[in-house]
Amino acid sequence: MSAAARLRASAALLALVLLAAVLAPWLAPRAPSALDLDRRLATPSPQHPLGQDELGRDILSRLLFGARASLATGLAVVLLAGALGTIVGGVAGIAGGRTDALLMRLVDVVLAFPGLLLAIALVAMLGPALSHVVLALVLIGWVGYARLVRGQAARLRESEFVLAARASGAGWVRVFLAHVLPNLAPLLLVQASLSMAGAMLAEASLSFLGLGLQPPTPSWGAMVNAGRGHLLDAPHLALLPGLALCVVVACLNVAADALGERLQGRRALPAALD
Amino acid sequence: MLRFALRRALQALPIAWLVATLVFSLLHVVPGDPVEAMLGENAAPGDVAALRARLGLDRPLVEQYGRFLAGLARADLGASLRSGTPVARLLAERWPATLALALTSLAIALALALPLGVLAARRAGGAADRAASALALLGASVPTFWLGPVLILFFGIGLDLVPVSGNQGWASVVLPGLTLGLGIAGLLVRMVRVALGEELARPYVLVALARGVGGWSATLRHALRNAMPPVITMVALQFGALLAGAVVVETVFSWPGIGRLMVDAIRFRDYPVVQGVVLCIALGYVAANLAADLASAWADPRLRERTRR
Repeated sequence: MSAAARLRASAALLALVLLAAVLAPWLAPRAPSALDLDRRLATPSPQHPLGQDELGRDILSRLLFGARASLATGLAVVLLAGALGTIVGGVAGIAGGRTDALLMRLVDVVLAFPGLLLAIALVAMLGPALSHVVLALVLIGWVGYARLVRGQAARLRESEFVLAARASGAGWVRVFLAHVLPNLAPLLLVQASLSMAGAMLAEASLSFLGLGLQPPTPSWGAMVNAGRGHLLDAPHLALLPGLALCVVVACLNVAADALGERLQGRRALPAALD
Repeated sequence: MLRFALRRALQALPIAWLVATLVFSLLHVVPGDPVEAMLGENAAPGDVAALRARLGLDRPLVEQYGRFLAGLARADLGASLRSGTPVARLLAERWPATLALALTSLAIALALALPLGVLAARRAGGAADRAASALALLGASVPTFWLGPVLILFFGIGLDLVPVSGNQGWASVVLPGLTLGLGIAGLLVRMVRVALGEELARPYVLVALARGVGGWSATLRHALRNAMPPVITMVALQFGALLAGAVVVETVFSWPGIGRLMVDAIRFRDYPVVQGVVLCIALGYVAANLAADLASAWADPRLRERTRR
C-alpha cells in the first residue's frame, strides 16, 4: 500500500473508534457498570453481543466506555505534553546560550529514566487516579516535543524568512507563532501520533497494575487484568479489550509512519515510550 | 580507549546523582503526610511519630537528603516497612531473576531481529522486508500485559509446552522473555534494516565485491560490523525499558523479580522498597547507557576521536 492509502485507512479506522467512544452512551446496550450476577461469564447473546464478564456486566458496553477513558487520556496527554514541550523547545531553540543549556539538562534528567518506570513510580506515590496518570505521562511526554521543536527552531532561527520577519519588526513570540510553528506542524503531527500511541499503552499498563482508573469505571487495561483470572473458562474477557487497544495503537503508529514517509521520503521509527 | 572509558564513566556520575536526587524527592510528592498514607487515617499518634522518626522525616529536608546520599554510599537503602528487611537485601535477592528475564528477552529479540533485519536490508521490498515491517509494527503496538496472557493461552494452556507462571527452571523464562522481547525485537529489526541498508550502499562494499568477496561475506563481515554502533546504542537504551517493562511482565507471569517486588510494595504503600526498586532500575539504565557508549567506541574508533576534542 502507498503511504497515502495507509494514512487514509488508519485515519478512517481511528475516526470510527473515536466516534464510537463519543457515542458510547447511545451505542452501549447496557450501563457499563450494571451488574447481572445470575449471568456471570455468559457467552454472547442477542442482548449481549460480546457476552458478559465475571460480574455479569455487558462486555460491549464496557469496551465502548473503556475507549472513552483510553482515548481521552491519550488526547489529554498529547495536548498538554505537546503544548509544554513546544513552549520549552521554542524558548530553548530561539534563546540559545545558557537558557538552552539549562532547559536541555532538564530534558536529560527526564530521559535518564525509563519512561514507564517514572510513570509507575509517580502514580504509586501520588495515589491511583486518572488525573495522576495524565500528570505523570505529561511530565514524561513533553521531552520528545521539546527536543523536536528545539532542534527545528534553532535551525529556522537563522533562515532567511525568519531574518526578514525580524527585520520588519516582528518580535520573537510572533515570529515563532507565525513563521516557525507552521513549518513544524507536520513534524509535530507525526510526534503527536506516536506519543498518543505511547500514552495509551502506558495508561493501559498503569490501569492493568491497578494504578489508573478505579473500578467500577471501565478501562481496557483493568479489563485485561480482571479477565486474566478466566483465561480457561472465558478467554474473551482478557482478549477483547487488549485487541481493541492493539488496533487503535497500531492505527496511530501506521498513521505516524505514513505521514513521516510522505514528509521526509523515509519512514519514521515508531518510538516506544522512552 | 582507556582514556575515553574513564572520561565517559566520569560523565555518568552527575547523571547518577540526579537520578538519586529524583528518587529521594519521590517520597515528598506523596500528597499530604506519607506516614499517614502508610499507616492509614486511624493510626495511633504514637505509631505515626515513631514511623516518622524511623524514616527520618522529622528532620530538616537538607539533613534527610544528606542521610539519604550517605546511606546510598554504604548501599543502605533503608528497610521495608512491612517486613523490616533491609531494602538492599530484598533487591539482591530479587535482582538475579529480573536480570535473567531481561537478558533472555534481549537474546530472543536479537535472535529475531538480527537475521530478519539482515535479510530485509539485502532485498528491499522482499518477503523478509515485509516480515520485518510487520514485526516492527507488532512490537510497537502490542501491549505486554496483553501479549503475556495471549502467549499463556496459546503455548501454556493450548499446547501445554511451557510453564505459565512462577519460576520452575529455565523453561519458565521462555514466555515472559518472549513477551518482553517482542517490543524490543520490533525496534531492533528496523534499526538493523536501516543501518545495514545505509552501509550496503557505501563504496567499500562495492570494492569488496569487486575484489571477489562474496555477497554474504561482504554483508556480514564488512557492512554489518559498521552498522552495529547504532544497534548497540539501541540495545542499551532498550535495556532500561526492558527493566521497566519487567514490572508489568513479572506481574503477568508471577515472576519473582524486582518488578513484582515493586508492585507488591506499591500495594502495601511500602515506600522505601518502591524507591529502592526505582533507584535500582534507573541506575541500571545509566550503567547500560555507559556500557553501550563504550561498546560503540570499541566497534567504531571514530567515535573515540570525536569526543577527544
